[in-house]
Amino acid sequence: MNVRGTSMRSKRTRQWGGVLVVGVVLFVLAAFVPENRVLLLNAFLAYGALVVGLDLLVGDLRMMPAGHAAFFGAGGYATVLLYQKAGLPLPVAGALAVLIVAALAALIGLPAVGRSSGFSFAIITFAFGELLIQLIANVPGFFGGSSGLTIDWGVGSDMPFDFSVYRYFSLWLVGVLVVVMLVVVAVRNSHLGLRMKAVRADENGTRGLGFNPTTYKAIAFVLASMLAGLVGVFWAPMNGFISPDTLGVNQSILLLGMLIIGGVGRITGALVGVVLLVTLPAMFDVDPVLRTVLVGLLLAIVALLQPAGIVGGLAKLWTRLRRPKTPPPADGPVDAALEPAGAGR
Amino acid sequence: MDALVTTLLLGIMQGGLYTLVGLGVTLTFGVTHILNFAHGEFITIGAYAFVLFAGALGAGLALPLALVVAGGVSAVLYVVGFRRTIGNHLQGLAFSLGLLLFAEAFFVRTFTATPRSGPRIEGTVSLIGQEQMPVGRLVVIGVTIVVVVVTALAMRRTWIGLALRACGDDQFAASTVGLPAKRVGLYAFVVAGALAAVAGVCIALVVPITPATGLSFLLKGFVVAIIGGLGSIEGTFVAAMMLGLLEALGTRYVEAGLTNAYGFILMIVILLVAPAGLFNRRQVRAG
Amino acid sequence: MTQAQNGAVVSSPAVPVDPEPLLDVDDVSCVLGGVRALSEVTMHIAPGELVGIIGPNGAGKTTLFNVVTGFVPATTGEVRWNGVPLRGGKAHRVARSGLVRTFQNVGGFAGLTVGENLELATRGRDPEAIDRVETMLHLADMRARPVEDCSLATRKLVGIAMALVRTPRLLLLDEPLAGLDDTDRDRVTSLIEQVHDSGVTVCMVEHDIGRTLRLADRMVVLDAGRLVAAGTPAELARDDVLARNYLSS
Ligand SMILES: Nc1ncnc2c1ncn2[C@@H]1O[C@H](COP(=O)(O)OP(=O)(O)OP(=O)(O)O)[C@@H](O)[C@H]1O
Ligand SMILES: [Mg+2]
Repeated sequence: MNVRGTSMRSKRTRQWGGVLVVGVVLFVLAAFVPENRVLLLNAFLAYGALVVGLDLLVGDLRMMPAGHAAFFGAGGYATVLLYQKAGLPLPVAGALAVLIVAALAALIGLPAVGRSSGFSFAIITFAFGELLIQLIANVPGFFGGSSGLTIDWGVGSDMPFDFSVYRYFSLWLVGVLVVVMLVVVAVRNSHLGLRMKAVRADENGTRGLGFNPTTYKAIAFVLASMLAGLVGVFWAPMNGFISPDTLGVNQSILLLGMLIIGGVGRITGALVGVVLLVTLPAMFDVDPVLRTVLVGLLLAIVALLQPAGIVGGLAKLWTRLRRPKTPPPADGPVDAALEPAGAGR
Repeated sequence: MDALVTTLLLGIMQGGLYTLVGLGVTLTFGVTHILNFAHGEFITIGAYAFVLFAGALGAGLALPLALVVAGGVSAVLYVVGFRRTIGNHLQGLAFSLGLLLFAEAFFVRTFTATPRSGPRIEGTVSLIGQEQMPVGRLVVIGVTIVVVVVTALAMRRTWIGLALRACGDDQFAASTVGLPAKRVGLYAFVVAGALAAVAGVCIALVVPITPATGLSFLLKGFVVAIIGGLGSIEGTFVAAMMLGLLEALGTRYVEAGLTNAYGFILMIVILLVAPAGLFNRRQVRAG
Repeated sequence: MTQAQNGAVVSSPAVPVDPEPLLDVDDVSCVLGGVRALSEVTMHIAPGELVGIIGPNGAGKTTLFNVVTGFVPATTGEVRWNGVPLRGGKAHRVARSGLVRTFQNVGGFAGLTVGENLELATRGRDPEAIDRVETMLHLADMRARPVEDCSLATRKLVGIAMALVRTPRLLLLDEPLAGLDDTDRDRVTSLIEQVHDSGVTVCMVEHDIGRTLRLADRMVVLDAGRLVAAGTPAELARDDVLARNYLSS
């Protein structure tokens, strides 16, 4: 059946190929990058995976969770606690942690996700992050309190090829990022992705076709949260330390900021955002508070002037330069994700 | 019994502060459909402006100045930013999130994270039994009650109040009688900024402030605005009082560490029972 | 006999004698934000009929569709689909049970191609239906085109096609001709006729009274939320008051 046409198919091939290429490049980078840059790479990988996963909500469904980092933190905390306090082997702890995050997301998401305006959703996810911080701060005996938990390396000291522990985790984090990208590409090219696109365009219209928009929003929310939790599973033992700061609303907004500044609806946008706001500031040793000031300012400006983000804006420019007369490509990514929804059906 | 009176008074004080914050959220949302995550920063601005001006010029002058500064910043942000995002809620949300991130980090850089104390009203009042209540808290209760009553009356009686209510009710109809939502939105932002500044001043009167003060109150403001049914003034007031009293009673008699969890749980329960909030009259348009 | 609101008497049973109507709307009222969009509307649609609903703007035609398809709950009264009451029916469930509607606005989801829209409508399960409907509506060479780049007429067709690929038992069309020029109106009109002839029960809301009168087996006139009259086109035309108020376009 050739319902989608050939341009669609070649685009799909390009997307899968892109993920493959990025994966190989990062893998090589992880193996050979100089020792003093390994942490920088790890930060890129973890933030990249978080932001690409977050795009499933923002780009594909126009849902704006103000507490995405909470699920990342929950994944990390759950892994550490299960490993350290319950004595489970690390892989089991990690797998359980992802399931716990899924359950939390379902619990939090269900009352919030169905409301079409998205405000309750933003607020409830926001409140959830703050609530987790409260919980951790108030049960210091178990959660380590506001000063955080220090973590034993979850892996032995004998690394293959004499890798440092950080580099060992780089390889795992490359795997995580690739998994997240594969999930996102797979969703976008599936019938589920088609339904999500339709929900984004017009919720009532999808109801009329027999789809319940709430179902698809819930699926996307739980999925994106699980991906965030997965990043936490690998980040916490790599970092050796986890504190409530990692799951606060500032982190969450930072993630949204990277995504929106880079450009929603496409993996390149998300990754460019991470490079701009995490990698470059770290390379040039920008003070973290100053960086937050800049990110905030940049986010406000980009949201106002170019809702499609930097990559989205460049893509628009490129199509305009290349094909001055024809309308933008049919299956083009969602560079209009922040533009108003098909009004008033 | 003695403790109960103190606890109730504390609950009313918190409820009053939440009302001030929630009213701002609900007003701006009602008129412009913008959910302003930077709203809490107006509290912080009001609080710091009050503390700084009080140090230099005395508390009497500092109060109006704090209101003017916060209201002015709110107006400027509306004119250069929020106004353009009307009709596109994700854009407005993203813009306000950027402002929030910027403002908080900016305050930390400028004022440091160390808590600051403002002017204090000395003395305590004896309640029944052994319980003592600082005068400052009673003053805060008085101020919030007066401001809330004045705001409620102004919404009923004055022209601006009428405009705000008309636009909150039906933007299209309001625009046909010469009340474009974009202009009325400016009034909403100024009023919201000033109300938040009052809350900030009150907070600075009773507890030390930090750059994060605004954000913690914003969460409560959101909760009460949502529980009350976004856009409803009565709803916000009722929800704020419920939340304030619930927190005070819960902290005193159940578990102090969970103060902030009560509001969240209240919100979830109410949203499950009454998805549109307590006082929402709006209907969803289908077809 | 229907005692119409403005005094006109229509001499045919508004309630068809057919033993088992497909859809019963029974004394339905619907209050939307203070507006009484429907008051005490009773009507039935029997299998195989083509019912036309007309009435001025704001008469409550779209609201009637919204109530029938579960988008908006009836304030009082009852809707029965296949004899089963739609009490608190969720729109997406109703839609899956063969009661298919189009929307008054243009058809298809922006951001999706024509083909993707159809694939969506079949839930990805019925490629043959897509081929069949594409041929019938001459949409085959459009499948790769994004709907927002299509003409209004094509988008309307896409909307109808999305309804047809789902093999409806009752097809509700909300103003399928609005915004089209005469040629396209004739095309869509004959398409509706063709669909009806193939055995689908159709109910359409239209402002194009001439074409609706020619198409419909039975007409329903709504005004200000009330059912003013019902009957065959010929019967309505015979009533001077009705004809003057509602049938002259
Ligand atoms: N969600 C709503 N809230 C308040 N009033 C509404 C709502 N939806 C419709 N109405 C009102 O109900 C009445 C009937 O509207 P409806 O859309 O059903 O009319 P219609 O017959 O389809 O008109 P048109 O021919 O213009 O499409 C109108 O007065 C309309 O303003
Ligand atoms: Mg209509």
